[in-house]
Amino acid sequence: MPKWREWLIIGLIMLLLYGFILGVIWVEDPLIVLALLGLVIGGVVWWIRQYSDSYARLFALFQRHRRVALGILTVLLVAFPFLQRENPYWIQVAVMSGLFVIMALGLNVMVGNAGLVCLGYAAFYAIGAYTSGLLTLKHDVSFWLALPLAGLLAMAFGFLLGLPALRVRGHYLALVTIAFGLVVQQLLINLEGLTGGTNGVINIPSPQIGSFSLGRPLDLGFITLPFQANFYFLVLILAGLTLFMVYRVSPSLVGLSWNAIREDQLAAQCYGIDLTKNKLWAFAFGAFFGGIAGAVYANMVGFISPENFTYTHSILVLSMILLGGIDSIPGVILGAILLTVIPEKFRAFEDWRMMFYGFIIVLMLLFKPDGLLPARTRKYTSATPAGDGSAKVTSTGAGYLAGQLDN
Amino acid sequence: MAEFAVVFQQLLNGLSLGAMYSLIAIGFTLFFGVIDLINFAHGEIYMLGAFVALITVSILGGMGLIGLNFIVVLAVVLLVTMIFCALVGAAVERSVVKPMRGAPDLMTLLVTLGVSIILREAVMLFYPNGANPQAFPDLLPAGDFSLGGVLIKYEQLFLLTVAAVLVVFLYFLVNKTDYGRYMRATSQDREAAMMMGLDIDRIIVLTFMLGSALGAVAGVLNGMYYNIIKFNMGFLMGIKGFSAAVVGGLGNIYGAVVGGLLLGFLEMFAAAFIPGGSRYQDVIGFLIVIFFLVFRPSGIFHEKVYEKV
Repeated sequence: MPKWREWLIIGLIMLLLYGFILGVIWVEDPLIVLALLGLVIGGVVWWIRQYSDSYARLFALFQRHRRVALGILTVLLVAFPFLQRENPYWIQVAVMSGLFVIMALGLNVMVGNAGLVCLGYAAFYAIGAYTSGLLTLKHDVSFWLALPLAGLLAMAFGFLLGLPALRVRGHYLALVTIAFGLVVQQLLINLEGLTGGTNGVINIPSPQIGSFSLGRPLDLGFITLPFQANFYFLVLILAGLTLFMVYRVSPSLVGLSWNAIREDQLAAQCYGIDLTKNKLWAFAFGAFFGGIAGAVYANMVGFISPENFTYTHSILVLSMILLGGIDSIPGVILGAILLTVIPEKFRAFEDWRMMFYGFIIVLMLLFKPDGLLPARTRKYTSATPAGDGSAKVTSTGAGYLAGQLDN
Repeated sequence: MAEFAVVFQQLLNGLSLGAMYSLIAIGFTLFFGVIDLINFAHGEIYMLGAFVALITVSILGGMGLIGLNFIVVLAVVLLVTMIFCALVGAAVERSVVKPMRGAPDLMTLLVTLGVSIILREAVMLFYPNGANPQAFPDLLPAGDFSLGGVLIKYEQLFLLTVAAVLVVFLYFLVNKTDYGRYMRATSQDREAAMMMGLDIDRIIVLTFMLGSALGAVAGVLNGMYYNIIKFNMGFLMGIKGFSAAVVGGLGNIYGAVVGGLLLGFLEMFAAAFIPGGSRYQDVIGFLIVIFFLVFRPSGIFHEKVYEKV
């Protein structure tokens, strides 16, 4: 097939998906939305299972033209606030999806890559939000400095949580992480002088670029976008960076070590994998993204309180990973987007949200434990072109990265 | 003397709290013993216990039977609650735990976590006005007496008696009956027990029923003690019960009892004697648990654990 036809196929598929997403946003009736989503997701899952060879061909196609696909994706994503400028609410939902994508990717580093159960992820989100919120509000620190600081402080707490994780695992680790989440929650409520207690922190300033505040509508001369669009672009960039980082780390030696620890800690240790270093890094690296997401959230909404960072939020991020596919980066992204968008369509059933998450966890684990987009077997090939008898290593895990290691 | 009275008062309060932790911890430890599983839904069984008792009381009231001797009413309420929650426990085991047997630890842990959310939300959504706290009726004649300056409520006395009776009952069940023997065999080595012809599935489901019934009693006792119950009370209590089981040594029934009492004491004393301690009551409990996990992961009743290879 000539190149341009392959590009055309890629473009058409992506446009189709994009149109579908816009359609879902546009349709009002939640039942029709559910039926549509069920049909499409069910169809895709069925197709992957039934015609795995054509799925693999399509996958390979996207892999061959990764740059083109990425380019089209960027254009489509950037176009979103322009198409939805009458609809700031949905831009806001898109921003939240982006934040959850960042968090889900971060949690996936712990739970998916390294197999370290963390049921207190909201704590990192909280630490990031309070760090950035308090620094920008009370100490006049620029958001652009507070953002990385929030990430780093969350990272430090990740390290701290990692210390007990060196000694305990499995069920015990789950307990420690829940306890960690609750302790942070209690501290937010009780350290009133610092955090404002249950009243939270109000009037957190919007980020500024020069004299332009991200909290004001974006005037491009020919078109004016609602202020949510500013945060949309910010989150888009941050999510892109997150994606880049996790894409780079998970097929690296560190990522492989994490997978080895996940599969069998004792065996990994016997092969000389440093458990201490790898586990601590898994927690710290994953926590960093929670902190970043929290900082953006705090300075966007302008108001934070302990209620924004409960155990429920930890469970929510966890169900995103389970829905999409543990250790599958595209899966995790899909899960995060679905679980942010679907509940928005069901505002009338607000009270049923948690029930819905509970059912997702149970049903996915019972019937499709690897998620909607399962992680693929990863292939490592040596630098020489395949077919000359060069060594091939395969491992389970985030496998769609195969091409990345070819060069 | 007054100082002593204060200490003893806190001791009694800690004992009451600890007894409830112990009853829940026993459930965790039983499940862990027979099937190496932490059942996150166990805290919700405890919450269900309180709600089922509340419903039973109102049904009894509707039939005009509440005027009976309070001992009869209590016995009926406890029995109904225990049976109902035992059945829920069995349903949980059959519907999600059994299909997940052999799956990685993480999966079984998360699936019971999912069930716990579903149970909790079901009560919130389907119990009339379930999102708000519910008043729990006084089932005992109200009253108290003083013993050397220590105020003892009838409720506390009842709570401790019931807990003690259940622990003694459990001792006989585990050590003197066939079922107890099978259970101990299963928890020592499931495969060997299976090869000796034991019906493992039945033993596991019975253990789930037993543990759930005990957890349910803790729920009823909690309702009677605080006179208020809420749909989300199971989460924190479940975590506390799990913590108590860990402190005592997971898989050890007596460890669970001791761990529960210890946790109850420590929390009460922290709340009473550390300045500003009551605000950090829960935090102190968790710090103790983390401390235990890090420095003595096998609990007070130390058993050397070898890693299976």
